[in-house]
Amino acid sequence: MGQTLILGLIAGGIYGLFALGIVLVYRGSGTLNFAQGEIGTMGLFVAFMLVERAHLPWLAGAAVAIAAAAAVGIAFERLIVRLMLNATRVAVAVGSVGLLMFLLAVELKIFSASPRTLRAPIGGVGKEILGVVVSPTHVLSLVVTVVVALGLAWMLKKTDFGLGVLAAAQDPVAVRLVGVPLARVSAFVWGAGAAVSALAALLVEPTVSVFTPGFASELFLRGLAAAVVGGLTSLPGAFVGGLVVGVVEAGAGRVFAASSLPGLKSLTVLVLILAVLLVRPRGLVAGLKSKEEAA
Amino acid sequence: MGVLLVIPLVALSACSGARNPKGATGETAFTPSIEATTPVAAGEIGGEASATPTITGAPSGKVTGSRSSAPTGGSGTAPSPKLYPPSTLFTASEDRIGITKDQITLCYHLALTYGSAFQTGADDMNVYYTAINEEKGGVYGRKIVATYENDNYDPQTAVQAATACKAKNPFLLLGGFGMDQVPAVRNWAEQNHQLYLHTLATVNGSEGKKYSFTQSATVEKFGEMFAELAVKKHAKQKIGIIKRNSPNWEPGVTAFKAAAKKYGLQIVAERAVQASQANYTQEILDMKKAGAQVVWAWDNAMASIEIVRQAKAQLYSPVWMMFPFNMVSQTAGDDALNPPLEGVAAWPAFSKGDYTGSFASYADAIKEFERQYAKYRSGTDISGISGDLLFMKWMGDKYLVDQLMDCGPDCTRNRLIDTWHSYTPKKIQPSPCQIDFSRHPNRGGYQLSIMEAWKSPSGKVNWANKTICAEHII
Repeated sequence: MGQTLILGLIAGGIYGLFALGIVLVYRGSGTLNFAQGEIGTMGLFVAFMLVERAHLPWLAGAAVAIAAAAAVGIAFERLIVRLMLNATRVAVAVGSVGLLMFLLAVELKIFSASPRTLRAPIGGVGKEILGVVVSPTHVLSLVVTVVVALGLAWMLKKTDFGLGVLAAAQDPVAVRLVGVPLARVSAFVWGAGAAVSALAALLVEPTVSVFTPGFASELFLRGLAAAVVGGLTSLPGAFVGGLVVGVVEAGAGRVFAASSLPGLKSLTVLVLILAVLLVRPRGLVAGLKSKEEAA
Repeated sequence: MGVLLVIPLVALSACSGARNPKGATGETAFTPSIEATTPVAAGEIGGEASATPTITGAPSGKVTGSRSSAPTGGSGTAPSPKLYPPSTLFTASEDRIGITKDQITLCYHLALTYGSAFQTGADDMNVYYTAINEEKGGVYGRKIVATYENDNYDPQTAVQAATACKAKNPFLLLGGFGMDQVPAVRNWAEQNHQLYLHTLATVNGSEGKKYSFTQSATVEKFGEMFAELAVKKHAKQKIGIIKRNSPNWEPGVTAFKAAAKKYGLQIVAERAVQASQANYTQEILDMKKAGAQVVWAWDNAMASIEIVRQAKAQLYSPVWMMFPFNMVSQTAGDDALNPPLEGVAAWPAFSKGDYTGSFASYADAIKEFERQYAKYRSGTDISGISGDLLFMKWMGDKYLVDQLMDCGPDCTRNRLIDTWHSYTPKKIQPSPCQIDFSRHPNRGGYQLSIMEAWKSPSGKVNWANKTICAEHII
């Protein structure tokens, strides 16, 4: 039980980080960016070139990778999303699938699908807790997720710009009227969402050990599950949703360990999403969300 | 988390080949081989191009003796060819599809998408055929034209790829390495009357299939051999299994457990994982908790890398048994050496520039391979993670060309089947595993090789042979 909890929290922290990016884009633009995970993978390749090939410090490689990811997010917003201002939100989401495919193709072309490795941000063996070796990077992931969630929540609640972000998808005219530039809000959410994904990918890579094109896109799906469980519009909900998905998934792995039926872990996550949508469609932390919305 | 990156092994028409360099008793045998650079008579393998070939029957080539020195001997039984009646599988109208007086058309289905994982593309795979066409004028004056259709390592896509191949009217359809694709294409080949030569696949599901042939050991045989490896080297130790949850992989596990039971191996844990699961921490902890000292990772190369590295992160270092690809050992680096990974394969090890020790028995073939790649695909990094796979493909092509030569200038699909049934590839290097269709008309591979991760003088962590071609090692 304890071991399952530890494993779930480790994975859940990362899912939560991805979910934060998803929620941010959804709050700011009313749509989902399906390329978000792959932008994170692209960031990993940038970091790989700088850290492993150019032998720069991990921090420098990570900073450039996050900046590059943000740049891709902003560029997509400027070149595609802005042109689709009058299109349905579904159409914009489909456009992001196009970006996902484009990024995959570019990564495969430049880097091939060969597995790559990237050193961990913090060295050291880690500490064994309930039979699980928890590495310094695992701890860092959880801390970063909490810090990013709190930071974003504070910004969204306490600043005019943040309030503009929260209102942008629901009432863009009102946002303009109160003097918040809508274009800047849109660029921010797409850029910040991409940057958060790159950060998540950088933090999870040492756990999986190797990455290839498509690496973070599969994580994105778990992040999406976390976001849905958290209510899709709540940043704290995204974090909690990530932990819940992580723990449920780890628990399912434990319960179905000896089963020969394929996909039971994934099925459990889907059942969780379904249950949340049926029982608490506004998410497990609807109360927190209400406060945020009220702000 | 990681993209579905399974073994995109290049198509391998015959990953088993010549007779065991050591006979059934383990004695060193005299293994003749053709020197590829030696001029030979027109029409023979290695001979000059001839628009009107005059040779009938099997090629004779300039044969030079070379004494094999495999590291350890196998205990494979000597083949006792059984005479089958001449094949009438193909009707007269089907028999000569894909073979004209100046061309033999081959088509492969393989995971081109994931070929990039091994930094290989279709052009990298045609080197042997290019060399044969350019330097020898093809096979009896017929140029070999091989094309590749992407099966994306997916059964349904593999059937689409096979259908695309059929549209090209190939003489022979060949299957790339992929335990999940082959069974689907096997069914398709039966319905579409396509002569299909495939690699590693289950016996299960092959029953009654007349159009599909393999010269590779089966999934079940691999499972049995992994168990024998465990018995031979780790008999007293606790064994764990991390296996792919798939009906196309499971028969290997069943065979492993049957052999384990027979020899009294102690299996303490068995966990199934999904394709591209990426995070194996739970399964690793289960192995660790069960006290498994040896773990058989029955999954693809990418999963194997992740499992080994994630186990290291959990401070767990059992002996790992797995498919021995340079991609795994090179990516895992020193993690592959402490303790050394152990593997079972249907192909000999390859490590660029290494010609001695366990590579000595087929050093000439390695040099020939390296020469051809330097000449025709100089940009391909055969010292990297794709080197062993390209060598495997090259070797398979070499044996197929030898079989086409044996088939004769009037080769047809039915005659090629007859050729396989009596094929004894004693002339060329590398001389890996015997082909023996005497036991079953559609299955000819029963031997496997044992390998161990090893740091080559170049500094790369590759694989070295421990036993070359044996049906049993205990």
